[in-house]
Amino acid sequence: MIVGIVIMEYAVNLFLVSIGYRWGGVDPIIEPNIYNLTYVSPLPQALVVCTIIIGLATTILAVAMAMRIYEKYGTFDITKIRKLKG
Amino acid sequence: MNHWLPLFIAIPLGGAILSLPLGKLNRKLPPWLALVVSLYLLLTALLLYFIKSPEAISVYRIGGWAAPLGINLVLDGLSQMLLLVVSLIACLVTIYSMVYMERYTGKEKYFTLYQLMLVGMNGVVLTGDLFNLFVFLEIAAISTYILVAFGTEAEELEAAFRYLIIGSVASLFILFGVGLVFSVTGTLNLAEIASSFPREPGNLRTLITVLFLVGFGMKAALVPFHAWLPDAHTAAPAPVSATLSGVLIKILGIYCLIRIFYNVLGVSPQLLYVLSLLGLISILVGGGLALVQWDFKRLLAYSSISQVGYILLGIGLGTPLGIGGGIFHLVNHALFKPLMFLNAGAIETSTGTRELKAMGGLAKKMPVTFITSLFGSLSISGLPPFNGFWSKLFIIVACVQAGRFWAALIAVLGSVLTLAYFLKFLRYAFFEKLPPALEKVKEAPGMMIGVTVTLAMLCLLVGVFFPYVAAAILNPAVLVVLEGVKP
Amino acid sequence: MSGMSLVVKVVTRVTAAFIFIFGCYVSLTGQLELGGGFAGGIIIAVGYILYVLAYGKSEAEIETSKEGAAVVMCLGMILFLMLALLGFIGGSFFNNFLPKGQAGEIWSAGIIPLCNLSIMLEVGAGLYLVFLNFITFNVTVREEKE
Repeated sequence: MIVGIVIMEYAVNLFLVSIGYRWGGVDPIIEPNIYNLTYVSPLPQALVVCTIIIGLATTILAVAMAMRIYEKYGTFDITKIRKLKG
Repeated sequence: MNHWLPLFIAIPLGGAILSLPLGKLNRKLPPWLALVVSLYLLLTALLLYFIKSPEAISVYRIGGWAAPLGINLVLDGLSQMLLLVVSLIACLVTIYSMVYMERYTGKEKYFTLYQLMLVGMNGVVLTGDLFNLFVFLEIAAISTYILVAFGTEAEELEAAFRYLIIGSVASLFILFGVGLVFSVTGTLNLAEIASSFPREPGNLRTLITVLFLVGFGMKAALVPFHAWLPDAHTAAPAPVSATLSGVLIKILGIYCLIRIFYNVLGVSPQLLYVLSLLGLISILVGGGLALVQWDFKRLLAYSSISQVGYILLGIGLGTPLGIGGGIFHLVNHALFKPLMFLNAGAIETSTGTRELKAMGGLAKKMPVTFITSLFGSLSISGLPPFNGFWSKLFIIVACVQAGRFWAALIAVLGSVLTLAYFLKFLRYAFFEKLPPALEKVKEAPGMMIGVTVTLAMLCLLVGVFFPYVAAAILNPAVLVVLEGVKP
Repeated sequence: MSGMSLVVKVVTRVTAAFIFIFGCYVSLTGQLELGGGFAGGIIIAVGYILYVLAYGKSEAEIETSKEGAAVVMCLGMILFLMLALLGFIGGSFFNNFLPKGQAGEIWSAGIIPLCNLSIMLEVGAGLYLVFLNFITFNVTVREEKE
């Protein structure tokens, strides 16, 4: 289940980065003597950096919780982890 | 004065970070630091009302960069009201936690996480930038995932894991929606999106609306996305449940919905109809499932689902009275739901159990808890002169005014259901005979009682003095929502 | 816990320092090249993790490392918050108040290199701390189940 969330997350991040694409653009780094280049928009890249970090934190948290759940329940099978009812 | 705005975010962040090394030095310091921080927040939130009129909108540019390059913090009537509500509940719950968290190890980490959650909530309320909204949303949500699992018992971990997965999926939907909005308008500033988002309906617009509705609906625990709420609220420690239920689901879910749909994207009649329909379903499902619960924290959790349905019904009507009723119910619920959860925590501390069947006759042993629970129950059920009466009255009258008689009928039915399950709670917990196992039960410690009494008094006072409250706090918020998309 | 084979140990001895310096480089030139604080911090954390995996550490050493990493992480966060609050000198929160040099130099763009430095400290130490906690947790679980 954790891997599924991670895959979904990568998909959305990829989507965000692709928003910034401009036709024929290069990476958004300014070289000293070259002008008049079409740059790929750097804003979604900044957004995606933040989002990747957030996703990393969530994944770490999910894995830590999964480890402790394994310690308590003895299984990773989600259909057996059902102590709370209703 | 404008400079105070970023301090709402920076001071709790400083408190959260400083609690870590301070906790290593001396275990008693972090609670006091958290208390100082929350008192500061409460005082500044109150002072904002006196210094600046809530109708005016202040915009603060972070780093001096003007939009669209920079991030703006925007304070309008709705944000100001929510800041006050959040600070009030946070302060009271912090006082309560100072006593309650003695039972848990790692107490200092709790206060760090709690203040991080405050950072997130204040940030969500104050920000004027769409991606910043998402970042603060995540900060608050992640600290909540950890807080729910705080005791690391089997139940708590399972509930927290379920909450984490559903919350992550919700965040992904929201992020996807943010990406789509960005690709359509090219800017992330809320005010600029409002002016440049295309007005005509189309497939893309419907997709964005659905994505945001589902994402924020999951965070706000609307039916059918409510699956995580009963587990998370039952298993979490009492002050965490109180804050989650009373404040967090409303700020992360309902406030963001209002912001995005009313002020940025623009509402359409179909959207309002869907919102009110979801609200009606939530009222019925929450109320019905609450009736059959024997674990009283679970009962309170289902009651939260039901009340959020009321708020959504009010907002989904679109008329001034409906929106006013919905927002008033938001404020009221933030007052009496933490009250009930904190009382539940007091009962759990004193008796050691959460099953209603194992309790009884606590009215003599815990008189203060009994009276405050009585106040809270009557408030939620909507009896005069408590505050719940007014907000439910507004919502029902607004339904009738809008010509939707079935909605009004269901709302009244929901009120009856609420009264029913709270009477069940009161009867089994406080009346009946005292089982022999509970002979030695004492009243809860002083600070915990002080907090619950304060909340109960506030319920009564807001109900009695409600015209002043409405004029000062609610009307500006309603005006902001009604203005809709600002040019 | 034991380390890995001799080949891995020798290679790590050579490359760990390079990884550390590369991480600092990526972090500090965040305004010129790609990277910035986050990426640099992660690279540094990976350098430390590589060292722990290759050589192995005993329980006591891990505890000391945890303390050190926690201190560095808090330091990084406090530094970042200080920088943000000091922006008030320039007029508003988070303002860029240090002198900005020419574009293309390292010491340009005001407080951005310092921000990157503090984020590097925080992310690197934080990720290292998480890794250490994961290792020690595994050990206790296996002992209980035995």
